Amino acid sequence: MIPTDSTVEWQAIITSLSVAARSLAFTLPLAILLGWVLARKRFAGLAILDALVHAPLVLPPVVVGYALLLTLGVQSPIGQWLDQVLGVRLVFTAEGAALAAGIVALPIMVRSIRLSLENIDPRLERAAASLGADPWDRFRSITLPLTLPGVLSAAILGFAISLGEFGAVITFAANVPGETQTLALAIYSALQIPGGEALALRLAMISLFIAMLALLAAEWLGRRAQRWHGKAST
Amino acid sequence: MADLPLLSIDVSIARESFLLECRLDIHGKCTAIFGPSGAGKSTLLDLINGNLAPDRGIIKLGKEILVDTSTQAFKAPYQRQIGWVPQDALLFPHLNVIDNLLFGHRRRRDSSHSSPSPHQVIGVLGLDRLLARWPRELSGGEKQRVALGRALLSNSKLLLLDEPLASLDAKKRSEILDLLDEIKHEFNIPIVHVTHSLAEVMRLADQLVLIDQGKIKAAGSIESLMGKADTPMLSDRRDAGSLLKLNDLTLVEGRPAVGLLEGQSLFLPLQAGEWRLPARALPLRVYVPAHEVILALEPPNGLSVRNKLACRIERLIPQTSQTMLVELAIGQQRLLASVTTAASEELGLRADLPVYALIKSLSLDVPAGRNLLSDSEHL
Repeated sequence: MIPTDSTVEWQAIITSLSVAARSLAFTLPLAILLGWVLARKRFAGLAILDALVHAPLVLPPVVVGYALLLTLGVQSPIGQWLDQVLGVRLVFTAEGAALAAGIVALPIMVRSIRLSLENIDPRLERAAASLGADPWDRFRSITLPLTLPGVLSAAILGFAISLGEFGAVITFAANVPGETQTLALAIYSALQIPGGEALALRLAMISLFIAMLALLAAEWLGRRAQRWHGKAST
Repeated sequence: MADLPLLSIDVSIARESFLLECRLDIHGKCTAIFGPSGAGKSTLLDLINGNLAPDRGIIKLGKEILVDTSTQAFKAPYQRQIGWVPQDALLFPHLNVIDNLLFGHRRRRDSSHSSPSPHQVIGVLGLDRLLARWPRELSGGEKQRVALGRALLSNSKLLLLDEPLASLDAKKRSEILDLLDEIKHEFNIPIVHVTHSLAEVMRLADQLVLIDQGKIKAAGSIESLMGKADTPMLSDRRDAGSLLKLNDLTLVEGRPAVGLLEGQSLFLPLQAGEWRLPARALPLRVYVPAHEVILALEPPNGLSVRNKLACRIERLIPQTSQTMLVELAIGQQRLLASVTTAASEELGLRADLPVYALIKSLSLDVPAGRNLLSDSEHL
């Protein structure tokens, strides 16, 4: 049966936004940390870390979802530990959907932050050290503010990618309406039902609207950041 | 010297192009580290401020150990309280001038030694009008003034200047030199100044460290090193010369200034006008290029040369295949004269021979002269 009220649309919108927001909440700090490590640190396993971070960019998202299923699924040791000790279950949950979407978005976010960090003269941090700033203070007061345009653009990109992620989410978190069924998954489901084209079209229009909104917000934030950075940069 | 050195360095570190081996005690209020590009000056500075760790050795700031490889002791740069002013100022681009200035001031660790107040520093460096500006809106000279102020306000025990004038034009360089002179006298912070400009050395430094290819070639007071005929890196320069110290100065309106050098008069290329001599100008330094000094065995007459200084030859050192550098003693001070080997032989110049050094007053250079004259406008 095809639902005639707007429940499906609203559910899909709320699930999508919730998944994207949760995904951003854990990927952004991680992307900043990884971007900083890759831009500033030199150690033996750097190339391996770099390859691992960028792997989701070149792998089919379904493979990412499958890898998550293998490592964090209820049959896996980590999944069992999470379930039994911490009471956290990721498979078929919104948290799992956020994790899958976030891992797909991570490489692009790390890249944006890393590029932004590499544009900062590391001697500015040395100057801050000579003025008494400890490492955390230097990161907080010099590095992070100067990376802000990169961090903002990473956040928006990450949010947009998470919003539209399909393959990894459906493989790891399945397609549970009201829990993991994001807009992309809802469109897919609608297309599976005979006569569901109208719903699919409505969902597609909503997706387009949210994407446009995100792009406009990105543009506006980008301009603000650019202006701020332009004002600040030498 | 028996007293505790300000900075005591005994380190070695291998770099790509040289091995820096340095054993040095720094005592002066303003010490210049002088040498050509690639000599190891900046490496030495990086070792002092903690941006580099030595392969071996120890560095002490007063009694405080900054690094000691034998005990694995290493103080991180942010714990050293050493102010650093690099060539390109490195102002924080996202902070305006006042926030740049106060960056270190807000992070002061201990206030056991007196440090200048923001009010004082802003006044001396003339930064009042710039406080709300952004670094990108500042000229090169203004950026350097802010960087100096920022380092001064960070409660530093030592100020490291890494060629802070190298990227400035002559006018701005002179302005910043005036300010550095002012800082040296106004604030009680010892300065270590890395430079490859002898003019800057003569203007500011009390102590001089000569470094080349990672080795300390000579170290000591600037007058003693510049007055010796065999100081490496200085006496073989084409513009070799000596630095005389005048402890008294007579100023009569409309007449050239006359300095007193070990009881003898030295006419200076400065016109005394309606101005009072700032107390800190004494002792006044006068640079005498060795090739501008003429030697005579008898006191000459009928010459336009104003300065005829009675001196005694200390020693003669061959400078080039055709020239000799003659080290002359005037009391405790040393004056260098460059003469051809032929002239030296003709006159029979030898150690202990009394001679007269003839120097045109226009040949003398007073490194602080510009400052004296510009001060006069305010007084």
